[in-house]
Amino acid sequence: MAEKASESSNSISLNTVDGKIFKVSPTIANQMQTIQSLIKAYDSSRVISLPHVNAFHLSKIIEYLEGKSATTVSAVKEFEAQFMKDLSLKQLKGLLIAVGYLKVNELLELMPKTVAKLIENKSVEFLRKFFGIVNDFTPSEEAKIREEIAWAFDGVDED
Amino acid sequence: MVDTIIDGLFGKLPDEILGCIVSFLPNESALETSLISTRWRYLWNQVVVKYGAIEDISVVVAEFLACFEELDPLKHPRKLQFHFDKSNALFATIATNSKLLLDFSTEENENERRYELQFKLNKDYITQHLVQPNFLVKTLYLKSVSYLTSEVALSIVSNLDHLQNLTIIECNGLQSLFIESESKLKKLTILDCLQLKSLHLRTSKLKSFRFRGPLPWIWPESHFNLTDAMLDFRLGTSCSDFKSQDFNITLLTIKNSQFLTLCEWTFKKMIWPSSGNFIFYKLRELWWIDNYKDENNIDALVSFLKLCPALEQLYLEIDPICYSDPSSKSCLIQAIKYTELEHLKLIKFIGFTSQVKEISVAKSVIQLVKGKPPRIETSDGSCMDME
Repeated sequence: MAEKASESSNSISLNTVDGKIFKVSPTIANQMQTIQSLIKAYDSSRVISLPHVNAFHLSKIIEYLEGKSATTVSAVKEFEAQFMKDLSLKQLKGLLIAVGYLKVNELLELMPKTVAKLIENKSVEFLRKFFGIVNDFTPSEEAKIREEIAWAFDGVDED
Repeated sequence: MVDTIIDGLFGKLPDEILGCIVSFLPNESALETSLISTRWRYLWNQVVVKYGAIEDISVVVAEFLACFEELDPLKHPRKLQFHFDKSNALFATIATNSKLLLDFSTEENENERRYELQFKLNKDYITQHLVQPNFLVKTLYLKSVSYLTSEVALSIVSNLDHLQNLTIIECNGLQSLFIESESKLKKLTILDCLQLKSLHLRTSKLKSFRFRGPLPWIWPESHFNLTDAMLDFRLGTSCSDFKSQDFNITLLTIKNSQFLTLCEWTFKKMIWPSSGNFIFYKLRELWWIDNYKDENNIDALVSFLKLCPALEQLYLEIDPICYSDPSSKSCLIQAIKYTELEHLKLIKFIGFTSQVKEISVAKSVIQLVKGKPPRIETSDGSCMDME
């Protein structure tokens, strides 16, 4: 994938945090907003270092950007579904961090949707664990918020 | 990356991404996320703060509603804080499922001046909106309206053409309330409006009526059959010379209810004298409030139970401050034809501090039961064994 892109003469070199160099075509690079803005600042011969992205995640992002150029809508859908299915939870989390850092707009819709599916209708305790967040509310604060938002839950089971 | 690093960074994802995740969650699940931590709460609590004159409120609220996107609740703020005059403010909050909360609470001394409200909802003609709302309010919570803000509340509410549920809470000084909605209003809840003396309803589609406060004079002008009625008049009446005839029309609206909350005194004074052979054929759940001070109190409960052949669940709440009517006498039991409770599955006690009392009440109720004895739960959550 990445190797194919390197054929192109004006390809862009990206250096991941674990020291792998990827050469990507400008079309692919421009779909990562963070890199797009860096390209303007750098001269093309230099390698762009990505301190927050490792090789696995970058290769996944490139795989996605190349793969989703399928011809039909249904083919894209199928590809996206398979792409998300292949990721473990750990990979999913890591990839979302990389996608957020690189600002890959295409994935910034698909991935949150996938995450939402994983956490919908789960307990607050589950959500905290999922996001690795320590509860910083005191029990009385938490009770107060519950009370505050209670009206919005009122009558949820009706209609 | 090492797992712990991923977990650490994952919790620190930018607001836009977290917001995006939330926007794909179903409504209530989305709001639950505000309980995760202060940061998540902040995501929900971004407030638009505006200043202006009292006349501008309706327009500001309409604009605020127009911006909201149900499918992406974090894209625009869900909360509006509008300051008007010197010390007054309106807080408007949107929740998904077409809900809006308008809260006029002030820290100033409560204005006790009396006022009345006349809501004419779901008019035939379509209101001309200044801004076309893409958020249609179906459920409105109206809190702490006072004399000063009653006009504003009225003008906002009359623009809500799709209202189905209306809840009015803690409106100090509200003395008289008229609600007209012949087509859409299904649910009306009035809580703790302690000065309310008169309630006039022209609401033929009403299915649920929940009231907590002193019994006002109620006039259901158009007939409707309630499925769910909460008549929590534990505070007594708003005026001393009520007669049972005054309650007759209201009684007709609750006779087919499936869920009913009732106080002992209300049955004795307002229902019993005119009920005759009235049977609550459809009643499945009864919540009964009483102070159980008088030994004879249980008679009223037993009498009422004999009118409820389909009852499945019985909740018995003791409230020492519950009003009792000194004038009504207790000579109830003998007069009623015996009806057995064949479907009663549960008796639950709430608020009792003495188990002796619970047992004595349970014994009286059990005598009416035919067939398998119901499960009995005491106030402390344990199960009572009547064997």
